[in-house]
Amino acid sequence: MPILNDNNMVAHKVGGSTYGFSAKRIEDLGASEYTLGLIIVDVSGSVDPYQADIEAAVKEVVRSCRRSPRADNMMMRLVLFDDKVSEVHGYKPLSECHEADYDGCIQIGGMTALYDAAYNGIKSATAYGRALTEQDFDVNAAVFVITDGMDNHSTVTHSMVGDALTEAVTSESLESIVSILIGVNTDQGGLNQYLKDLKDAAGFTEYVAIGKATVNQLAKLGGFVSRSIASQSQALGSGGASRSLSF
Amino acid sequence: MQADAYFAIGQSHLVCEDYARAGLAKSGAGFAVVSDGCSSSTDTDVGARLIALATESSIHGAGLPLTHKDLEAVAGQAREGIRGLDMGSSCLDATLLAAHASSGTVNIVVVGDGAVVGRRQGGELEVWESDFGGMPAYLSYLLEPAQLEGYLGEGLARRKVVHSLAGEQISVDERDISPSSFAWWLTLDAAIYDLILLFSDGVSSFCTRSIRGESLAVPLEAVVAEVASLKTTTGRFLTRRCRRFLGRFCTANNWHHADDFSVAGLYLGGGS
Repeated sequence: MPILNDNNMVAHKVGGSTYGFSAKRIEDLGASEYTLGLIIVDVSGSVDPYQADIEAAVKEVVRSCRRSPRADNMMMRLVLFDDKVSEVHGYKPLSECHEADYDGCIQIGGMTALYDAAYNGIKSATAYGRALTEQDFDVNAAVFVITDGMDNHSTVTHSMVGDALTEAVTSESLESIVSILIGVNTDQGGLNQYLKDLKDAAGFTEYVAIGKATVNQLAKLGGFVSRSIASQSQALGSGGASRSLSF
Repeated sequence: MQADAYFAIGQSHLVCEDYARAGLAKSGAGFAVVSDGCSSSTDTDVGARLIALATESSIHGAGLPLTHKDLEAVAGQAREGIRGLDMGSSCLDATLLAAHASSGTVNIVVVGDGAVVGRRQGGELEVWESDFGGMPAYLSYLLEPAQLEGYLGEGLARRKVVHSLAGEQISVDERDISPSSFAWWLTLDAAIYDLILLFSDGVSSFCTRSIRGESLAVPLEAVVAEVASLKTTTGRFLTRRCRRFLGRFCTANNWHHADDFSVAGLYLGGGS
């Protein structure tokens, strides 16, 4: 259940997924073009030691994006996942995202439904992108999947995540999409190789490994995500995606 | 009330000499302004902007220029904008179409070439096209007696206004128009229309190719119908529509516009 939505958000279903998504009513949108920034965050039990740092990173994304000259052309959706996928808020303009609203938004849970969350997120960007495109808006998307573990609780498969990404790229619902898989604490337990393989198998644009979840590294994470969204927003209208940025 | 404007360079131009603005006046009334700089005069891209800005300034103050004297004042203010610059007043050779909507009426002024479109509540498009046959009267002539005398002396002050609705047309031809009649005004009942659009004459410059490769003019009505087919009406509603129209529809249908294209509009209806 989204906790930061208002009455101007509309619920949408996602085919093939238990979970849907919400988004701002298109009729209420005023800009000519939008970049959909989607942040999908792992809140399984293992994230507990750095819960506050992840929350700070999310706030940094909001703070930085709101300062961007492209802020009026950005929307953001925040999704959390453990055993299940939950939406903190659906796609809404950055002007309606306030840093203070994210206080306590990261609530730690159980297992890791990584594929379910990635699938729902990518499908949501495609679906909302299609709806916006049909209403004359120019749209692209930047999707970030942040995880510190391997999937152990999804109903969809990694190949379905790959199919969703292929659809996002080829369906013309979005002018372009960048999809970045971010591993946290990848120095342990074979996670790095697992996520590298997932990146290649599913077709994510990029994989970023954060070897150790230190305060400094997680502080950099917020800046990286916001810069990547801004870069993708600047690419809107060019017909292609933004260049990859270094972490 | 929503207001938006859009302009784009034509294929035959190196600089876009059209300019368009729209917004809400301090009074809350909506306004829309289009100005098209003359291609054969220099620096009219700057002049078109100054004419539009001076008109907007007038709207924010006393309201839409409603008299010949008001229009002289607009031209005079625009000329103030080039004071100290190495630019002749011929840079102000630019058309003007402006609309102002308040208290249930939409007042419109037209100086030179261009088209006014009103979409009736039922969806019918009503068009007033103003055409000087390529030699329009400009406000700048009011500032330069010698230029005005030459324009009038050559018998160029001829205007044809074609009013179209539901397949019927009424055409009014005027010759030897006096300076005090360079402008014409229109007052529309806002209860009858949900959308008002002002176009530069670039709207009449669209063409396509026949199967044999011949250039064919696209009727103004066809262009206007595409632009008026708004999907949503909030915020940058015309920018979205025009980008999609020029970027996708025209590309897919091999439509091109040689002249600059500009449109400013007011959506008078409620929410989308």
